[in-house]
Amino acid sequence: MPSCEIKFDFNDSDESVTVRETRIILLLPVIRRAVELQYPDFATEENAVIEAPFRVPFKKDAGVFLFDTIARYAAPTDDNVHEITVEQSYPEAGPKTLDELKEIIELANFWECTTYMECIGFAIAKKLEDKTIEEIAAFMGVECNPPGNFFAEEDGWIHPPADAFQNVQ
Amino acid sequence: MAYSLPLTYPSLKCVIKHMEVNSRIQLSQRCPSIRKAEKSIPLKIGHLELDQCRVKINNTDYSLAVVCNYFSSPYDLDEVGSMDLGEVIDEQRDVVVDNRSLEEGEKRILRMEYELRMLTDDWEKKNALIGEALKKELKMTTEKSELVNRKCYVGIIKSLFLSRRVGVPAPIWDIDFVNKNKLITFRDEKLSYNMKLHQAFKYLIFKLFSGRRDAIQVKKLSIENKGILRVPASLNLKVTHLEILGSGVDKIAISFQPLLEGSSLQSIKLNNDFNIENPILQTSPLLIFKNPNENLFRARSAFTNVRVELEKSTIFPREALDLIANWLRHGKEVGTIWNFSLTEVTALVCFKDIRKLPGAKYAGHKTSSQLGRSVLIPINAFSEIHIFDEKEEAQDGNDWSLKITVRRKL
Repeated sequence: MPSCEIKFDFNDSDESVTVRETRIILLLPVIRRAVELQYPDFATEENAVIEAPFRVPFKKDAGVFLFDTIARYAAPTDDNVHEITVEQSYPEAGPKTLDELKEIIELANFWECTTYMECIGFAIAKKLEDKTIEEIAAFMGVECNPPGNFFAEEDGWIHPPADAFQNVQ
Repeated sequence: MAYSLPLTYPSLKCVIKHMEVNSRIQLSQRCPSIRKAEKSIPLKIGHLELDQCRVKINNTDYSLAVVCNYFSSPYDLDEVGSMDLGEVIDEQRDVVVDNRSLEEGEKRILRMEYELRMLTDDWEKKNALIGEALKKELKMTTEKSELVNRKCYVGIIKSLFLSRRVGVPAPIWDIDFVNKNKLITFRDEKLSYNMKLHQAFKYLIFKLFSGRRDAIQVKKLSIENKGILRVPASLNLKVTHLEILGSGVDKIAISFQPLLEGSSLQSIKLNNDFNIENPILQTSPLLIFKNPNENLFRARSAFTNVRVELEKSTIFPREALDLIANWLRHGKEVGTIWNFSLTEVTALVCFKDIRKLPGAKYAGHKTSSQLGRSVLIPINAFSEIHIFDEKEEAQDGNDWSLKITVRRKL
Protein backbone atom coordinates (compact mmCIF):
# COMPACT_ATOMS: atom_id res chain seq x y z
CA MET A 1 0.00 0.00 0.00
CA PRO A 2 1.71 3.19 -1.16
CA SER A 3 1.69 6.07 1.27
CA CYS A 4 3.45 9.38 1.66
CA GLU A 5 3.80 12.43 3.84
CA ILE A 6 4.08 15.69 1.90
CA LYS A 7 3.57 19.16 3.35
CA PHE A 8 2.28 22.30 1.67
CA ASP A 9 2.65 25.88 2.92
CA PHE A 10 0.00 28.23 1.52
CA ASN A 11 0.54 31.97 1.37
CA ASP A 12 -2.33 32.92 3.71
CA SER A 13 -1.65 30.46 6.53
CA ASP A 14 1.25 29.59 8.83
CA GLU A 15 -0.03 26.07 9.31
CA SER A 16 1.10 23.40 6.85
CA VAL A 17 -1.32 21.07 5.12
CA THR A 18 -0.12 17.47 5.03
CA VAL A 19 -1.19 15.08 2.28
CA ARG A 20 -0.74 11.37 2.99
CA GLU A 21 -2.51 9.87 -0.03
CA THR A 22 -0.23 8.95 -2.89
CA ARG A 23 -3.09 8.84 -5.39
CA ILE A 24 -3.75 12.54 -4.84
CA ILE A 25 -0.11 13.49 -5.35
CA LEU A 26 -0.08 11.45 -8.55
CA LEU A 27 -2.80 13.75 -9.88
CA LEU A 28 -0.58 16.83 -9.41
CA PRO A 29 2.01 16.56 -12.23
CA VAL A 30 4.31 19.31 -10.96
CA ILE A 31 4.45 17.87 -7.45
CA ARG A 32 4.75 14.32 -8.74
CA ARG A 33 7.79 15.23 -10.83
CA ALA A 34 9.40 16.97 -7.87
CA VAL A 35 8.78 14.02 -5.55
CA GLU A 36 10.04 11.50 -8.10
CA LEU A 37 13.43 13.20 -8.02
CA GLN A 38 13.81 11.81 -4.53
CA TYR A 39 11.59 8.71 -4.85
CA PRO A 40 11.82 7.38 -8.44
CA ASP A 41 9.24 4.67 -7.69
CA PHE A 42 6.96 7.04 -5.83
CA ALA A 43 3.77 5.44 -7.17
CA THR A 44 4.51 2.23 -5.26
CA GLU A 45 6.66 3.62 -2.45
CA GLU A 46 5.55 3.13 1.14
CA ASN A 47 5.98 5.98 3.59
CA ALA A 48 7.61 8.42 1.16
CA VAL A 49 8.46 11.42 3.32
CA ILE A 50 9.43 14.83 1.94
CA GLU A 51 10.87 16.91 4.77
CA ALA A 52 10.74 20.39 3.28
CA PRO A 53 7.22 21.75 2.63
CA PHE A 54 6.20 22.90 -0.85
CA ARG A 55 5.49 26.61 -0.89
CA VAL A 56 2.27 27.43 -2.76
CA PRO A 57 1.39 31.03 -3.75
CA PHE A 58 -2.35 30.41 -3.31
CA LYS A 59 -4.84 30.35 -0.47
CA LYS A 60 -5.13 27.40 1.85
CA ASP A 61 -8.88 27.01 1.27
CA ALA A 62 -8.24 26.52 -2.44
CA GLY A 63 -5.64 23.86 -1.72
CA VAL A 64 -7.79 21.99 0.75
CA PHE A 65 -10.70 22.04 -1.69
CA LEU A 66 -8.52 20.70 -4.48
CA PHE A 67 -7.13 17.89 -2.31
CA ASP A 68 -10.65 16.94 -1.23
CA THR A 69 -12.17 16.79 -4.71
CA ILE A 70 -9.52 16.16 -7.36
CA ALA A 71 -9.74 12.37 -7.17
CA ARG A 72 -13.53 12.33 -7.39
CA TYR A 73 -14.26 14.89 -10.12
CA ALA A 74 -14.56 13.59 -13.69
CA ALA A 75 -14.23 16.06 -16.55
CA PRO A 76 -17.24 16.70 -18.80
CA THR A 77 -17.18 14.76 -22.05
CA ASP A 78 -18.61 15.60 -25.46
CA ASP A 79 -21.40 13.13 -24.84
CA ASN A 80 -22.58 14.35 -21.47
CA VAL A 81 -21.66 18.04 -21.48
CA HIS A 82 -25.25 19.05 -22.33
CA GLU A 83 -26.78 16.92 -19.57
CA ILE A 84 -24.60 17.29 -16.49
CA THR A 85 -25.12 19.92 -13.82
CA VAL A 86 -22.89 21.37 -11.15
CA GLU A 87 -25.27 20.09 -8.45
CA GLN A 88 -24.96 16.50 -9.65
CA SER A 89 -21.33 16.26 -10.74
CA TYR A 90 -19.52 18.91 -8.68
CA PRO A 91 -21.67 19.48 -5.58
CA GLU A 92 -18.90 20.99 -3.45
CA ALA A 93 -18.21 23.62 -6.12
CA GLY A 94 -21.79 24.89 -6.12
CA PRO A 95 -21.60 26.94 -2.90
CA LYS A 96 -18.22 28.45 -3.78
CA THR A 97 -18.09 32.05 -4.96
CA LEU A 98 -16.63 33.00 -8.32
CA ASP A 99 -13.62 34.50 -6.58
CA GLU A 100 -12.97 31.26 -4.72
CA LEU A 101 -13.39 29.18 -7.86
CA LYS A 102 -10.96 31.44 -9.68
CA GLU A 103 -8.37 30.78 -6.97
CA ILE A 104 -8.98 27.03 -7.29
CA ILE A 105 -8.67 26.90 -11.06
CA GLU A 106 -5.49 28.98 -10.99
CA LEU A 107 -4.01 26.64 -8.39
CA ALA A 108 -4.94 23.69 -10.62
CA ASN A 109 -3.26 25.45 -13.52
CA PHE A 110 -0.17 26.12 -11.39
CA TRP A 111 0.08 22.38 -10.72
CA GLU A 112 -0.83 21.43 -14.33
CA CYS A 113 -4.00 19.57 -13.31
CA THR A 114 -5.58 20.02 -16.74
CA THR A 115 -8.38 17.46 -16.35
CA TYR A 116 -9.43 18.94 -13.03
CA MET A 117 -9.38 22.42 -14.57
CA GLU A 118 -12.14 21.28 -16.93
CA CYS A 119 -14.35 20.51 -13.95
CA ILE A 120 -13.76 23.85 -12.25
CA GLY A 121 -14.06 25.66 -15.58
CA PHE A 122 -17.45 24.04 -16.04
CA ALA A 123 -18.57 25.16 -12.57
CA ILE A 124 -17.37 28.71 -13.22
CA ALA A 125 -19.08 28.81 -16.61
CA LYS A 126 -22.41 27.79 -15.08
CA LYS A 127 -22.12 30.53 -12.47
CA LEU A 128 -21.44 33.06 -15.21
CA GLU A 129 -24.62 32.18 -17.11
CA ASP A 130 -26.74 34.82 -15.39
CA LYS A 131 -24.08 37.53 -15.49
CA THR A 132 -23.93 40.38 -17.97
CA ILE A 133 -21.16 40.51 -20.54
CA GLU A 134 -19.55 43.37 -18.62
CA GLU A 135 -19.47 41.29 -15.44
CA ILE A 136 -18.07 38.27 -17.26
CA ALA A 137 -15.33 40.38 -18.84
CA ALA A 138 -14.47 41.90 -15.46
CA PHE A 139 -14.21 38.45 -13.92
CA MET A 140 -11.88 37.34 -16.70
CA GLY A 141 -9.87 40.53 -16.40
CA VAL A 142 -10.29 41.62 -20.01
CA GLU A 143 -11.43 44.92 -21.51
CA CYS A 144 -14.98 45.06 -22.84
CA ASN A 145 -16.12 47.35 -25.68
CA PRO A 146 -19.60 48.87 -25.82
CA PRO A 147 -22.08 46.77 -27.87
CA GLY A 148 -22.11 48.79 -31.10
CA ASN A 149 -24.07 47.63 -34.14
CA PHE A 150 -24.26 43.96 -35.03
CA PHE A 151 -24.62 44.90 -38.71
CA ALA A 152 -21.50 47.01 -39.02
CA GLU A 153 -21.74 50.11 -41.18
CA GLU A 154 -18.23 49.52 -42.48
CA ASP A 155 -19.58 46.32 -44.05
CA GLY A 156 -22.12 48.28 -46.07
CA TRP A 157 -25.17 48.18 -43.79
CA ILE A 158 -27.03 51.44 -43.44
CA HIS A 159 -28.95 52.35 -40.31
CA PRO A 160 -31.73 54.85 -41.11
CA PRO A 161 -31.76 58.02 -38.95
CA ALA A 162 -33.92 57.58 -35.87
CA ASP A 163 -36.31 60.43 -36.65
CA ALA A 164 -37.55 58.54 -39.70
CA PHE A 165 -39.18 56.04 -37.36
CA GLN A 166 -40.79 58.72 -35.25
CA ASN A 167 -42.55 60.07 -38.31
CA VAL A 168 -43.83 56.65 -39.21
CA GLN A 169 -44.78 55.31 -35.77
CA MET B 1 -17.55 43.53 -8.44
CA ALA B 2 -13.83 43.87 -9.01
CA TYR B 3 -11.29 41.10 -9.38
CA SER B 4 -7.63 41.59 -8.71
CA LEU B 5 -6.07 39.34 -11.33
CA PRO B 6 -7.13 38.25 -14.80
CA LEU B 7 -7.53 34.57 -15.51
CA THR B 8 -4.44 32.94 -16.94
CA TYR B 9 -4.71 31.70 -20.51
CA PRO B 10 -5.24 27.98 -19.73
CA SER B 11 -7.88 28.81 -17.12
CA LEU B 12 -9.56 31.23 -19.49
CA LYS B 13 -9.84 28.52 -22.13
CA CYS B 14 -11.38 26.08 -19.65
CA VAL B 15 -14.02 28.60 -18.65
CA ILE B 16 -14.81 29.75 -22.21
CA LYS B 17 -15.12 26.14 -23.33
CA HIS B 18 -18.06 25.57 -21.00
CA MET B 19 -19.72 28.98 -21.21
CA GLU B 20 -23.24 29.35 -22.53
CA VAL B 21 -22.85 29.67 -26.30
CA ASN B 22 -24.63 32.98 -26.80
CA SER B 23 -22.75 34.71 -23.97
CA ARG B 24 -19.56 33.37 -25.46
CA ILE B 25 -20.35 34.83 -28.88
CA GLN B 26 -21.20 38.21 -27.37
CA LEU B 27 -18.05 38.15 -25.29
CA SER B 28 -15.97 37.41 -28.36
CA GLN B 29 -17.55 40.28 -30.27
CA ARG B 30 -16.97 42.80 -27.50
CA CYS B 31 -13.59 41.73 -26.08
CA PRO B 32 -10.97 41.80 -28.85
CA SER B 33 -8.20 40.60 -26.56
CA ILE B 34 -9.76 37.17 -26.10
CA ARG B 35 -11.29 36.79 -29.56
CA LYS B 36 -8.53 34.54 -30.85
CA ALA B 37 -8.70 32.35 -27.77
CA GLU B 38 -12.47 32.08 -28.09
CA LYS B 39 -12.31 31.21 -31.80
CA SER B 40 -9.75 28.46 -31.17
CA ILE B 41 -12.00 26.56 -28.74
CA PRO B 42 -14.57 24.28 -30.40
CA LEU B 43 -18.11 25.62 -30.19
CA LYS B 44 -20.73 23.14 -28.97
CA ILE B 45 -24.37 23.96 -29.59
CA GLY B 46 -27.18 21.84 -28.19
CA HIS B 47 -29.86 22.95 -30.65
CA LEU B 48 -29.27 25.14 -33.70
CA GLU B 49 -32.32 26.25 -35.67
CA LEU B 50 -32.02 27.89 -39.08
CA ASP B 51 -34.67 29.25 -41.36
CA GLN B 52 -34.38 31.87 -44.07
CA CYS B 53 -34.56 34.82 -41.68
CA ARG B 54 -33.75 33.47 -38.25
CA VAL B 55 -31.00 31.76 -36.32
CA LYS B 56 -31.86 30.28 -32.96
CA ILE B 57 -28.98 29.06 -30.81
CA ASN B 58 -30.28 27.03 -27.89
CA ASN B 59 -32.81 29.49 -26.44
CA THR B 60 -31.67 32.74 -28.03
CA ASP B 61 -33.17 34.19 -31.20
CA TYR B 62 -31.43 36.22 -33.89
CA SER B 63 -34.29 37.29 -36.17
CA LEU B 64 -34.52 39.33 -39.33
CA ALA B 65 -37.66 40.63 -41.00
CA VAL B 66 -38.60 43.07 -43.73
CA VAL B 67 -40.77 45.64 -41.98
CA CYS B 68 -42.95 48.59 -42.91
CA ASN B 69 -45.15 50.39 -40.40
CA TYR B 70 -47.28 47.58 -39.08
CA PHE B 71 -46.45 44.80 -41.52
CA SER B 72 -43.50 42.46 -41.53
CA SER B 73 -42.37 39.72 -43.86
CA PRO B 74 -39.99 36.80 -43.33
CA TYR B 75 -38.75 36.98 -46.92
CA ASP B 76 -37.87 39.60 -49.51
CA LEU B 77 -40.54 41.82 -51.01
CA ASP B 78 -40.71 43.59 -54.34
CA GLU B 79 -41.45 47.29 -54.81
CA VAL B 80 -45.20 46.88 -54.35
CA GLY B 81 -44.94 44.63 -51.33
CA SER B 82 -45.44 41.23 -52.91
CA MET B 83 -43.07 38.34 -52.48
CA ASP B 84 -39.98 39.08 -54.52
CA LEU B 85 -39.72 36.36 -57.15
CA GLY B 86 -36.85 37.94 -59.03
CA GLU B 87 -33.74 36.09 -60.13
CA VAL B 88 -31.12 35.47 -57.46
CA ILE B 89 -27.62 36.30 -58.62
CA ASP B 90 -25.38 33.56 -57.31
CA GLU B 91 -21.93 34.91 -58.08
CA GLN B 92 -20.49 34.06 -54.69
CA ARG B 93 -19.69 30.67 -53.22
CA ASP B 94 -22.74 30.22 -51.07
CA VAL B 95 -25.13 27.44 -50.32
CA VAL B 96 -28.44 28.81 -51.61
CA VAL B 97 -31.79 27.08 -51.17
CA ASP B 98 -34.65 28.68 -53.08
CA ASN B 99 -38.05 27.58 -51.77
CA ARG B 100 -40.03 30.60 -52.90
CA SER B 101 -43.55 29.97 -54.09
CA LEU B 102 -46.58 32.00 -55.09
CA GLU B 103 -48.60 30.03 -52.59
CA GLU B 104 -46.53 31.38 -49.72
CA GLY B 105 -46.89 34.90 -51.09
CA GLU B 106 -50.66 34.48 -51.14
CA LYS B 107 -50.62 33.28 -47.55
CA ARG B 108 -48.88 36.45 -46.54
CA ILE B 109 -51.54 38.60 -48.22
CA LEU B 110 -54.15 36.76 -46.21
CA ARG B 111 -52.18 37.26 -43.00
CA MET B 112 -51.89 40.94 -43.80
CA GLU B 113 -55.63 41.24 -44.27
CA TYR B 114 -56.11 39.58 -40.91
CA GLU B 115 -53.66 41.99 -39.31
CA LEU B 116 -55.52 44.95 -40.83
CA ARG B 117 -58.79 43.76 -39.36
CA MET B 118 -57.18 43.60 -35.95
CA LEU B 119 -56.11 47.23 -36.04
CA THR B 120 -57.68 49.64 -33.61
CA ASP B 121 -59.67 52.69 -34.61
CA ASP B 122 -56.57 54.75 -35.28
CA TRP B 123 -55.60 52.59 -38.22
CA GLU B 124 -55.41 55.59 -40.47
CA LYS B 125 -52.67 57.15 -38.37
CA LYS B 126 -50.69 53.95 -38.29
CA ASN B 127 -50.83 53.63 -42.04
CA ALA B 128 -50.34 57.25 -43.01
CA LEU B 129 -47.88 56.44 -45.75
CA ILE B 130 -50.07 53.86 -47.38
CA GLY B 131 -53.03 56.18 -46.93
CA GLU B 132 -51.23 58.91 -48.83
CA ALA B 133 -50.42 56.46 -51.61
CA LEU B 134 -54.05 55.43 -51.79
CA LYS B 135 -55.27 59.00 -52.02
CA LYS B 136 -53.00 59.67 -54.96
CA GLU B 137 -53.92 56.42 -56.60
CA LEU B 138 -57.63 56.96 -56.22
CA LYS B 139 -57.52 60.75 -56.67
CA MET B 140 -59.69 61.14 -53.63
CA THR B 141 -60.28 64.37 -51.82
CA THR B 142 -59.59 64.66 -48.15
CA GLU B 143 -63.27 64.51 -47.31
CA LYS B 144 -63.87 61.37 -49.33
CA SER B 145 -60.89 59.56 -47.89
CA GLU B 146 -62.49 59.75 -44.48
CA LEU B 147 -65.32 57.69 -45.86
CA VAL B 148 -63.08 54.78 -46.75
CA ASN B 149 -63.98 52.13 -44.25
CA ARG B 150 -61.92 49.28 -42.96
CA LYS B 151 -63.35 46.66 -45.23
CA CYS B 152 -62.87 48.72 -48.36
CA TYR B 153 -59.33 49.54 -47.27
CA VAL B 154 -58.43 45.89 -47.05
CA GLY B 155 -59.75 45.25 -50.53
CA ILE B 156 -57.82 48.17 -51.96
CA ILE B 157 -54.59 47.03 -50.37
CA LYS B 158 -55.06 43.56 -51.71
CA SER B 159 -55.82 44.73 -55.23
CA LEU B 160 -52.80 47.02 -55.19
CA PHE B 161 -50.47 44.28 -54.13
CA LEU B 162 -51.92 41.60 -56.33
CA SER B 163 -52.11 43.72 -59.46
CA ARG B 164 -48.59 45.06 -58.97
CA ARG B 165 -49.54 48.50 -60.19
CA VAL B 166 -46.72 50.75 -61.27
CA GLY B 167 -46.37 54.31 -60.20
CA VAL B 168 -47.65 53.88 -56.69
CA PRO B 169 -45.17 55.27 -54.20
CA ALA B 170 -43.66 52.34 -52.37
CA PRO B 171 -43.89 52.20 -48.60
CA ILE B 172 -40.57 52.58 -46.84
CA TRP B 173 -39.35 49.09 -46.03
CA ASP B 174 -36.55 48.39 -43.59
CA ILE B 175 -34.90 45.29 -42.25
CA ASP B 176 -35.41 44.75 -38.54
CA PHE B 177 -32.86 42.69 -36.59
CA VAL B 178 -33.85 41.47 -33.12
CA ASN B 179 -31.62 39.44 -30.79
CA LYS B 180 -33.43 38.19 -27.71
CA ASN B 181 -34.21 35.29 -25.46
CA LYS B 182 -37.24 34.76 -23.25
CA LEU B 183 -36.10 37.33 -20.72
CA ILE B 184 -34.02 39.97 -22.47
CA THR B 185 -33.94 41.81 -25.78
CA PHE B 186 -30.24 42.28 -26.40
CA ARG B 187 -30.52 44.24 -29.65
CA ASP B 188 -33.16 45.76 -31.86
CA GLU B 189 -31.54 47.28 -34.95
CA LYS B 190 -33.15 48.88 -37.99
CA LEU B 191 -31.36 48.64 -41.32
CA SER B 192 -32.12 50.30 -44.62
CA TYR B 193 -33.51 47.82 -47.11
CA ASN B 194 -30.65 48.30 -49.56
CA MET B 195 -29.59 44.66 -49.50
CA LYS B 196 -31.73 41.55 -49.77
CA LEU B 197 -32.91 39.75 -46.67
CA HIS B 198 -31.05 36.60 -47.66
CA GLN B 199 -27.83 38.61 -47.85
CA ALA B 200 -28.48 39.99 -44.38
CA PHE B 201 -29.07 36.45 -43.19
CA LYS B 202 -25.79 35.30 -44.67
CA TYR B 203 -24.04 38.19 -42.92
CA LEU B 204 -25.70 37.17 -39.66
CA ILE B 205 -24.40 33.61 -40.01
CA PHE B 206 -20.97 34.97 -40.86
CA LYS B 207 -20.84 37.20 -37.79
CA LEU B 208 -21.97 34.44 -35.48
CA PHE B 209 -19.87 31.56 -36.74
CA SER B 210 -16.98 32.71 -38.92
CA GLY B 211 -13.28 32.45 -38.16
CA ARG B 212 -13.39 29.24 -36.16
CA ARG B 213 -10.52 26.82 -36.30
CA ASP B 214 -12.64 23.72 -35.70
CA ALA B 215 -16.01 22.54 -36.90
CA ILE B 216 -18.98 23.75 -34.88
CA GLN B 217 -20.39 20.77 -33.01
CA VAL B 218 -24.17 20.77 -33.16
CA LYS B 219 -26.13 18.14 -31.29
CA LYS B 220 -29.36 18.90 -33.14
CA LEU B 221 -29.72 20.99 -36.30
CA SER B 222 -33.21 22.05 -37.44
CA ILE B 223 -33.65 23.66 -40.86
CA GLU B 224 -36.72 25.20 -42.45
CA ASN B 225 -37.02 27.51 -45.46
CA LYS B 226 -39.92 29.50 -46.91
CA GLY B 227 -37.90 31.93 -49.03
CA ILE B 228 -34.23 32.04 -49.94
CA LEU B 229 -31.89 30.48 -47.42
CA ARG B 230 -28.33 31.62 -48.04
CA VAL B 231 -25.49 30.23 -45.97
CA PRO B 232 -21.71 30.68 -46.45
CA ALA B 233 -20.21 27.56 -48.00
CA SER B 234 -17.40 27.87 -45.47
CA LEU B 235 -19.79 27.12 -42.61
CA ASN B 236 -18.26 24.07 -41.00
CA LEU B 237 -20.70 21.96 -39.01
CA LYS B 238 -20.47 18.62 -37.26
CA VAL B 239 -24.05 17.53 -36.69
CA THR B 240 -25.37 14.60 -34.69
CA HIS B 241 -29.13 14.87 -35.29
CA LEU B 242 -30.59 16.59 -38.35
CA GLU B 243 -34.20 17.75 -38.66
CA ILE B 244 -35.70 19.31 -41.79
CA LEU B 245 -39.08 20.96 -41.29
CA GLY B 246 -41.76 22.35 -43.55
CA SER B 247 -41.84 21.96 -47.30
CA GLY B 248 -38.95 21.82 -49.74
CA VAL B 249 -37.26 19.05 -47.77
CA ASP B 250 -35.43 17.67 -50.78
CA LYS B 251 -33.93 21.00 -51.82
CA ILE B 252 -32.67 21.65 -48.32
CA ALA B 253 -31.24 18.16 -47.94
CA ILE B 254 -29.39 18.30 -51.25
CA SER B 255 -28.04 21.81 -50.73
CA PHE B 256 -26.87 21.22 -47.17
CA GLN B 257 -25.16 17.91 -47.84
CA PRO B 258 -21.76 19.55 -48.54
CA LEU B 259 -21.96 21.34 -45.20
CA LEU B 260 -22.59 18.05 -43.42
CA GLU B 261 -19.77 16.02 -44.94
CA GLY B 262 -17.80 16.12 -41.70
CA SER B 263 -20.78 15.02 -39.63
CA SER B 264 -21.48 11.57 -38.22
CA LEU B 265 -25.25 11.76 -38.27
CA GLN B 266 -27.07 9.63 -35.72
CA SER B 267 -30.53 10.50 -36.98
CA ILE B 268 -32.34 12.43 -39.69
CA LYS B 269 -35.90 13.61 -39.13
CA LEU B 270 -38.08 14.72 -42.03
CA ASN B 271 -41.72 15.62 -42.30
CA ASN B 272 -44.28 15.83 -45.09
CA ASP B 273 -43.25 14.84 -48.59
CA PHE B 274 -39.74 13.99 -49.65
CA ASN B 275 -38.00 11.89 -52.26
CA ILE B 276 -37.02 8.56 -50.77
CA GLU B 277 -34.16 8.32 -53.28
CA ASN B 278 -32.44 11.33 -51.69
CA PRO B 279 -28.85 10.19 -50.99
CA ILE B 280 -28.70 12.01 -47.67
CA LEU B 281 -31.05 9.35 -46.32
CA GLN B 282 -28.26 6.80 -46.69
CA THR B 283 -25.98 8.75 -44.35
CA SER B 284 -27.76 8.14 -41.05
CA PRO B 285 -28.40 4.93 -39.07
CA LEU B 286 -31.82 6.16 -37.89
CA LEU B 287 -34.49 7.90 -39.95
CA ILE B 288 -37.47 9.61 -38.37
CA PHE B 289 -40.43 10.43 -40.59
CA LYS B 290 -43.23 12.64 -39.35
CA ASN B 291 -46.55 12.34 -41.22
CA PRO B 292 -44.87 10.85 -44.30
CA ASN B 293 -46.60 10.38 -47.62
CA GLU B 294 -48.23 6.96 -47.82
CA ASN B 295 -46.01 6.05 -50.77
CA LEU B 296 -43.20 5.55 -48.28
CA PHE B 297 -44.81 2.33 -47.13
CA ARG B 298 -45.37 0.93 -50.60
CA ALA B 299 -42.05 1.71 -52.23
CA ARG B 300 -38.97 -0.45 -52.08
CA SER B 301 -36.30 1.24 -50.00
CA ALA B 302 -33.04 0.43 -48.27
CA PHE B 303 -34.19 1.93 -44.97
CA THR B 304 -33.58 -0.51 -42.14
CA ASN B 305 -33.96 1.60 -38.99
CA VAL B 306 -36.99 3.86 -39.20
CA ARG B 307 -39.21 5.63 -36.71
CA VAL B 308 -42.59 6.82 -37.98
CA GLU B 309 -44.49 9.55 -36.13
CA LEU B 310 -48.08 10.20 -37.11
CA GLU B 311 -50.67 12.68 -35.86
CA LYS B 312 -52.34 11.35 -32.75
CA SER B 313 -55.81 11.27 -34.27
CA THR B 314 -54.80 9.10 -37.21
CA ILE B 315 -56.09 5.55 -37.29
CA PHE B 316 -53.72 4.04 -39.74
CA PRO B 317 -53.75 0.25 -40.11
CA ARG B 318 -53.36 0.80 -43.83
CA GLU B 319 -49.81 2.15 -43.52
CA ALA B 320 -48.66 -0.81 -41.45
CA LEU B 321 -50.48 -3.28 -43.69
CA ASP B 322 -48.96 -1.68 -46.81
CA LEU B 323 -45.52 -1.97 -45.29
CA ILE B 324 -45.95 -5.62 -44.40
CA ALA B 325 -47.35 -6.43 -47.85
CA ASN B 326 -44.38 -4.62 -49.37
CA TRP B 327 -41.88 -6.70 -47.41
CA LEU B 328 -43.70 -9.93 -48.15
CA ARG B 329 -43.56 -9.17 -51.86
CA HIS B 330 -39.99 -7.92 -52.17
CA GLY B 331 -38.26 -9.24 -49.08
CA LYS B 332 -36.41 -7.15 -46.52
CA GLU B 333 -33.02 -7.33 -44.78
CA VAL B 334 -32.77 -9.23 -41.53
CA GLY B 335 -32.31 -6.72 -38.72
CA THR B 336 -34.75 -4.17 -40.11
CA ILE B 337 -36.77 -2.29 -37.49
CA TRP B 338 -39.61 0.09 -38.27
CA ASN B 339 -40.95 1.70 -35.13
CA PHE B 340 -44.36 3.38 -35.20
CA SER B 341 -44.98 5.91 -32.44
CA LEU B 342 -48.67 6.03 -31.58
CA THR B 343 -51.25 5.49 -28.85
CA GLU B 344 -52.01 2.16 -27.26
CA VAL B 345 -55.53 2.17 -28.70
CA THR B 346 -54.17 2.64 -32.20
CA ALA B 347 -51.66 -0.17 -31.67
CA LEU B 348 -54.50 -2.42 -30.61
CA VAL B 349 -56.44 -1.61 -33.78
CA CYS B 350 -53.36 -2.39 -35.87
CA PHE B 351 -52.84 -5.73 -34.18
CA LYS B 352 -56.40 -6.79 -34.86
CA ASP B 353 -55.90 -6.22 -38.57
CA ILE B 354 -52.35 -7.55 -38.78
CA ARG B 355 -53.19 -10.86 -37.15
CA LYS B 356 -55.75 -11.53 -39.88
CA LEU B 357 -53.14 -11.48 -42.63
CA PRO B 358 -52.56 -14.82 -44.41
CA GLY B 359 -49.73 -16.78 -42.81
CA ALA B 360 -49.84 -14.70 -39.63
CA LYS B 361 -49.32 -16.43 -36.30
CA TYR B 362 -50.53 -14.56 -33.25
CA ALA B 363 -49.10 -14.99 -29.75
CA GLY B 364 -50.66 -13.46 -26.65
CA HIS B 365 -54.10 -13.10 -25.17
CA LYS B 366 -56.86 -14.06 -27.54
CA THR B 367 -58.53 -10.66 -27.34
CA SER B 368 -55.25 -8.78 -27.86
CA SER B 369 -55.89 -6.87 -24.67
CA GLN B 370 -52.69 -7.48 -22.78
CA LEU B 371 -48.98 -6.93 -23.09
CA GLY B 372 -46.71 -9.48 -24.67
CA ARG B 373 -48.71 -9.80 -27.87
CA SER B 374 -46.85 -10.39 -31.10
CA VAL B 375 -47.42 -11.60 -34.64
CA LEU B 376 -45.11 -13.66 -36.84
CA ILE B 377 -45.44 -13.71 -40.63
CA PRO B 378 -42.95 -15.75 -42.69
CA ILE B 379 -41.27 -13.97 -45.63
CA ASN B 380 -39.36 -16.94 -46.98
CA ALA B 381 -37.54 -20.04 -45.73
CA PHE B 382 -34.98 -17.99 -43.81
CA SER B 383 -36.61 -14.82 -42.48
CA GLU B 384 -39.87 -13.65 -40.98
CA ILE B 385 -41.61 -10.47 -39.96
CA HIS B 386 -41.95 -10.10 -36.20
CA ILE B 387 -44.44 -7.51 -34.97
CA PHE B 388 -44.77 -6.54 -31.34
CA ASP B 389 -45.51 -3.50 -29.20
CA GLU B 390 -44.26 -1.94 -26.01
CA LYS B 391 -44.62 1.16 -23.89
CA GLU B 392 -42.14 3.98 -24.36
CA GLU B 393 -41.39 7.44 -22.99
CA ALA B 394 -44.32 9.73 -23.61
CA GLN B 395 -43.88 12.15 -26.48
CA ASP B 396 -46.83 14.43 -27.21
CA GLY B 397 -49.38 11.80 -26.29
CA ASN B 398 -47.98 8.96 -28.41
CA ASP B 399 -46.61 6.85 -25.60
CA TRP B 400 -46.76 3.49 -27.33
CA SER B 401 -44.55 1.84 -29.86
CA LEU B 402 -45.47 -0.69 -32.54
CA LYS B 403 -42.35 -2.41 -33.85
CA ILE B 404 -42.35 -4.16 -37.21
CA THR B 405 -39.08 -6.04 -37.56
CA VAL B 406 -37.41 -8.63 -39.75
CA ARG B 407 -35.46 -11.42 -38.13
CA ARG B 408 -33.94 -14.74 -39.02
CA LYS B 409 -36.31 -17.65 -38.54
CA LEU B 410 -35.76 -19.41 -35.25
